[in-house]
Amino acid sequence: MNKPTRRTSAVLAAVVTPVALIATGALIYGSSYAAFTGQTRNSGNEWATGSVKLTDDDGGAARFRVANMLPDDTQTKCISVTADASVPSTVKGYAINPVTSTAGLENKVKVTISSGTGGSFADCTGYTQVGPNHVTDAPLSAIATVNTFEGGFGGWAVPAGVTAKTYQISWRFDTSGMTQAQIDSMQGAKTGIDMQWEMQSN
Amino acid sequence: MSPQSTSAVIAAWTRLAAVLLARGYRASVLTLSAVAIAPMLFGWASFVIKSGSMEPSINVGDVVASRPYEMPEKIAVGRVYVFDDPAAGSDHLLTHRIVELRDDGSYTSAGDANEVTDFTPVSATDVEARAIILAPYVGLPVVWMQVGEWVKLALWLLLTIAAFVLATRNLEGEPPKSNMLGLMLDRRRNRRTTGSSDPGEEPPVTGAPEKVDAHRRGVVPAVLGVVLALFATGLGSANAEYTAQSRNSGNTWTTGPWVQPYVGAVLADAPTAFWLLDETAGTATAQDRSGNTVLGNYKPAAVLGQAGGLPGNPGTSLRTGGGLSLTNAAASVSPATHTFELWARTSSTTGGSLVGFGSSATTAIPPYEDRVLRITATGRITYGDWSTNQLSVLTTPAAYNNDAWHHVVVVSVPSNGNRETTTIYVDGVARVSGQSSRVETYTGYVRVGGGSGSSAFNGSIDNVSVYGTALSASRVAAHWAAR
Repeated sequence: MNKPTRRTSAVLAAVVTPVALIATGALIYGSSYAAFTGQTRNSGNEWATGSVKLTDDDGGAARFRVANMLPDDTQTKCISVTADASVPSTVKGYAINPVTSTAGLENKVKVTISSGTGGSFADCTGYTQVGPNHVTDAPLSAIATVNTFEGGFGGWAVPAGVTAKTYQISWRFDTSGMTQAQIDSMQGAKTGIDMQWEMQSN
Repeated sequence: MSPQSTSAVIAAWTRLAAVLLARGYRASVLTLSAVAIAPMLFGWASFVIKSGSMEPSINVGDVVASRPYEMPEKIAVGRVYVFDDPAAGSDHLLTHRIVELRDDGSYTSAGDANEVTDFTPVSATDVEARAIILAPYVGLPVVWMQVGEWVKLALWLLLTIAAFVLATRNLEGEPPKSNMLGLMLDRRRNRRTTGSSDPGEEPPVTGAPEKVDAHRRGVVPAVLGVVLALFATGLGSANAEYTAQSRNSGNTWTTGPWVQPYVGAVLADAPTAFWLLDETAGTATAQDRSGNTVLGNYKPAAVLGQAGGLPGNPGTSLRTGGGLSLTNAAASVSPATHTFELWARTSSTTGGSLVGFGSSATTAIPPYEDRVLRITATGRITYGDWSTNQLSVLTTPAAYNNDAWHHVVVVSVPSNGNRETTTIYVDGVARVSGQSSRVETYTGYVRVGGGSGSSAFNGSIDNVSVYGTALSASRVAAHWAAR
């Protein structure tokens, strides 16, 4: 094998820059076309290695489905939320889809939410609260006004990897300060809400 | 071929390849930079993408050049836009695809790599620009600077400087200088050295090219620095955030078809009047829960809105400092068989009338008054203390003026000679039973908290009910149990 000839060098030297320019242009065009001309997103595909997943252990069941609620009834339950994040993220909770009742029952069901470790959807046993309450004795109607990630409670900073947290939710039907006639008017009233946790990468 | 010449051949090819690679790299970097920066010259905005939820279309470090969006313009569903993240605070730009026009005129956005769409809708006023051109990789140094990946940044800088320097090396067979500066320098140098003016015949190894390189070594980093600075200051950065949601749906709370337990127990025995005394202060009329609309009139002595007497039955009570508190509004005939039931609490040591029947509704002593349930100065509860003719007073053995709520029921049925057979129940248990004083038949009123004789009752009263029947002991116990 010989050294590159002057001719070879000259030809390659003359060609390399235009070729690089064209290749780069093609790359830009191709990328732009792929990103900005396609009409659909390909969600949940296997290449989404950087994606984040947020799951809870409710198995599709509502946390609270209370029937025949009487004044001063109370209940405490847990739900475990698992974040699978490839990048550091933040998880917040908020309420959506409130069901209002004409009798204003949503003003009288008061909710306290805290978070910590241990416990599960099936059983709060082992739950240990960490930090102060996120929400203390707030009526459902007040919780329902906070329905975006920005205003959500918690602000749980999730590092990359899989982490879990248990939220403990308790409610009580608070009829203090009401007359018997007002309480009687709430008979058969129904209210409801969905709790949602949202994770966003930082 | 000798080993020496073999190595020389390899060196020559390696040099050629390295220089060509460096030139290709230089061309790519400059092109990408130009594409990233140039749109800003005519009013577009370029954003370095900081996170990866638009992968694989847009990766971290890519630069998105975008055309500013003005309000009336139609937003194309399916295309990528840069907008103020509606789910975050101000000054937080998000680059996501618009995937849906919602019924309310706002839009749903989504990251290509997210399984779920973004929860918070985007309104047209949030939209800043529509992404048009994607320059891959070129924003990576900016990302490295922002996240403090100094090692990567330094390595890249070194490599790039080296490549730019290497790219300026002359190759055999090409004119020695490829730019104006080089040509001018070369001419001057050639004139000074009075050497051959033919550039193609330049000897392969002299000091001259190295001098030029040395000169350029100072220029190249400066140029790169300027380019970087341009990027860092001139390019905004935008996020493409990963998002995921988890929802617990369908939580409901439905109240039972309850009446309060005590109210239910009382109503089961069909009282003629049932005053809950839950009216607020200033109310004149006491409502009747019995369904018979036997309204009551509050008297000035009644102080409404006090703490209720029954632990499991929310409500309020009335308090009287002494004096008639409540009568029924319309007169009725005095009942023969009757039951009075109420809740009372006092710490008084002067006693007083809890409830009774009288021929007037005023605070003055009525012409006729009987059927009076009274608490004595010693706290015992009596019935029958109203007539001097055949006076028979029943008195409980124990005292109840201990400032606790007590459930008091008196049941009377007619006996011989207009007298009555009476039982007094306190807290659900019969405490005393027997013949009580003679009663008259007349038209009058139920009088709560006031009566003739001893001083007026000083304490609290709640949930007064009147029956035209005699409650059984088991029903009284049931009322007590439902407190």
